[in-house]
Amino acid sequence: SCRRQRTMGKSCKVVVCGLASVGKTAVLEHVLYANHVVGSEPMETLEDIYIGSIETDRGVREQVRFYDTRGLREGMEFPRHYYTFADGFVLVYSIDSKESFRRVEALKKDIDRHRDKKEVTIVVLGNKCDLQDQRRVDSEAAQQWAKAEKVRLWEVSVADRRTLIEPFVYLASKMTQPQSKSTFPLSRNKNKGSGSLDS
Amino acid sequence: MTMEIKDSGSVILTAYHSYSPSRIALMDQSYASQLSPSPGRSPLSRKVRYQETSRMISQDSLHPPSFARSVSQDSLDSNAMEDYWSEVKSIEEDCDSAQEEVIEVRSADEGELEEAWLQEAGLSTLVSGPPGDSPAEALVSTLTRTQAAMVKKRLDNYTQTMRKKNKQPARDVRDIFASGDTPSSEPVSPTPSSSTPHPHPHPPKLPFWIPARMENCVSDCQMSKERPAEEFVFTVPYSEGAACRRKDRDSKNFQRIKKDDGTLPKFVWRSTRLGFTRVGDLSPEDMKKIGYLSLIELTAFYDALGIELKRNRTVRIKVRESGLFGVPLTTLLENDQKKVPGLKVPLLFKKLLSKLEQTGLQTEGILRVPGSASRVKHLRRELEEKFYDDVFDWDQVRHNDAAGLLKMFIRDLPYPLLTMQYLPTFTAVENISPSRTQLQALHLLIMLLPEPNRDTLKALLEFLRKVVANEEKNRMSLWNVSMIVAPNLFMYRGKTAKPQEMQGAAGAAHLVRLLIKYQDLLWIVPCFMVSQVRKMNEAAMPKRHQGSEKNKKKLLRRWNAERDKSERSELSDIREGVIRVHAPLHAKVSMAIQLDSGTKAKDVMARFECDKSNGTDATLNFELKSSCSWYP
Repeated sequence: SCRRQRTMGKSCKVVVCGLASVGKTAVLEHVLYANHVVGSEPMETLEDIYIGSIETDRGVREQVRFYDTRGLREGMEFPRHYYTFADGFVLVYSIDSKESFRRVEALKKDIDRHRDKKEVTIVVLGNKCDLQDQRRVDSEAAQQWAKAEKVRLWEVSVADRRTLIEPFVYLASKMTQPQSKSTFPLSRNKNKGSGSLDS
Repeated sequence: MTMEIKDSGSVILTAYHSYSPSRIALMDQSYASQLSPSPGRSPLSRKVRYQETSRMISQDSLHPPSFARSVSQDSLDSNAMEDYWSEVKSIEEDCDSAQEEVIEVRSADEGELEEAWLQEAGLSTLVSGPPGDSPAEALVSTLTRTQAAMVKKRLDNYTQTMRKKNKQPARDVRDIFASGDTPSSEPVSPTPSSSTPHPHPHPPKLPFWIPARMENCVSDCQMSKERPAEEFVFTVPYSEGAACRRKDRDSKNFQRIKKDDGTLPKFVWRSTRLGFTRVGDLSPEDMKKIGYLSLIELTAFYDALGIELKRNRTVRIKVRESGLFGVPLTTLLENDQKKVPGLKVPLLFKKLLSKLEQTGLQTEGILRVPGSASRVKHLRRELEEKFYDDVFDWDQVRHNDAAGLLKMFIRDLPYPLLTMQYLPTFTAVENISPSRTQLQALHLLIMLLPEPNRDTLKALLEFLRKVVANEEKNRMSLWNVSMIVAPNLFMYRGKTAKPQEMQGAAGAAHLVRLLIKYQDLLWIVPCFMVSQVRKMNEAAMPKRHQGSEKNKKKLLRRWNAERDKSERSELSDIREGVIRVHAPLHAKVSMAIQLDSGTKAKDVMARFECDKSNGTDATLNFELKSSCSWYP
């Protein structure tokens, strides 16, 4: 987990994934550089890594490594090795695509299968919320699902960078939460062991 | 040098012609009468003989004209040099009023000179140190045949001088060159020592450089009128091709200095396998080695050209340790670096340049139109008081004041910008022709300059290039700018250069013109030196690290294993035709890129563009921080 890694002087690792063309790279680059132009030609990503420095809600600056992954397509499986090293996930769908939301649901299930719930932090982003007239994913239903899965979900838009900040600050804060705040310190350690066995 | 008088068929500008309108008119007449084009010559290159003798600027004016020689300056009328001499005059006036102690630069005796040379070429351990592995040994092993022959000659010279003084040098030259280079089967037979130079039975086997483009240097000597871009070759040491050029030079007349900037050759330089290394790219240690090699190469180069390599002895003089004007560049920069770490050019110099850029680039006669001397002196006093407290009022400074201050700053450096040591070596470049060979000499000299001097000179040249770029507005051509700047760079402490050193105003201006025009080329470290430094490092390596080789391997293995575990597993199995580009200094540290047959490096770089557009990491972090704390 990130806590273990951080003691070794390493940054947390966050995997950004979702269906192709939902705007994963746009979200990342816009939150990091604030220079994404809405409507610009999408470029297919293979795998890019970014380093960002985020100030958490505790006022501490944390380094986070973002793995921007290749957009998934029908029948394509998400490479399994990502599940093993990530400390956090950003699952991205687009509110104008029902299929992209279904893919996020599937990804969440897969993560649960590979990792213990307490080991990783997951946030879900419903991108392109500026395209209200093309909405296919109901906002209410999505939030209901997130609540049931015990993950946080935000609807965001690259057109408004402020919508992007909160999820990323939450993610960084959650991943780097000091151990003492954990409710079950003992069971955590046990989980870690089982987690690595799984991989 | 006397040879050059004979060679230069025509007699040239021998005197300073003080400005007075009536005389100019008169002059123009006599000048015009000689303008009848001689048959077979294009009007552009027609020879103009100008033999007007009038007041010389220095006391040397009493020399008979035949003694006051200079390089050919056909097609240069007196008007062309007017700016130069009026600049000289104003400098002298400036100095008369504030008579400072003029240091006598005494030339040291031969032994001392040789010793200083060896030291600066990084070879002093060869004669003083114990035999065995020393960095000097690694240096010697990388020299070319021409360079090595020259070093050998120098060492011989030194040995003999020392012998005359009854001082026995610690080592004999032959030991140095015999070691390692001669086959072990042939033992070195020490010749009985005599006062005659030693014969060298075993020439060292050293890398031999074949001039890659001999035809280039030949065609260069026969300057064609249409100038197609010529290639400037970095890969071959300059001393290797120089001998053939000398022959040409001896038989042919000198290249004429034309004030028309369009006649300067166009040079292209091709990237080699090693790419381009710019001066700032190398570590200080490697740059030091470049300095050694440059001195060796320059000496060999001058030898091959038959030009005396004159260097002044370094002298220590009493200087100001604080303040702005008259403080040594190094001291000033050290003081400024306490305020701005990593600063390359003194703050005042930078400020003056930016002031000139803001106010004067498009002003007619920038640099030439002088400010009032008393005003400039007043501003200088005020600057000394207020500059570092940031209370100096820069709005009162007009462009000609700034130009005056800038020139004064350069002239008042206790050691000249081109360094005391190498000033004569720089001026000697005037005696070289053609321009390509001059450039090669300048190139080596630039490599030799101490870092603060080189950086400051570069800042100046970059500014001057901007001035020239605005020629249409400010009417300052490359030649005009060069004429104004030349006396400021080449005169030392108000002393007009002696005629034997300063062979002609036009020559000096031409050098400045070369510096401005070819600065990009001159600030690239010559490829052949980069490979020599690499060889030097390799030669020094095994000796130093033999013992730790095992440890290194172990460490590497462990390190790789660790990296494999932690990072390789995180990266996806990469498909065929996909490369992974790491950019640890960017926020986007790594990128997998699909290549196809049309992909160029440019395309790969473009993928990282998004990073650049927003500046460095620092700004990125700042950006993110500010927004996060604003919206937590």
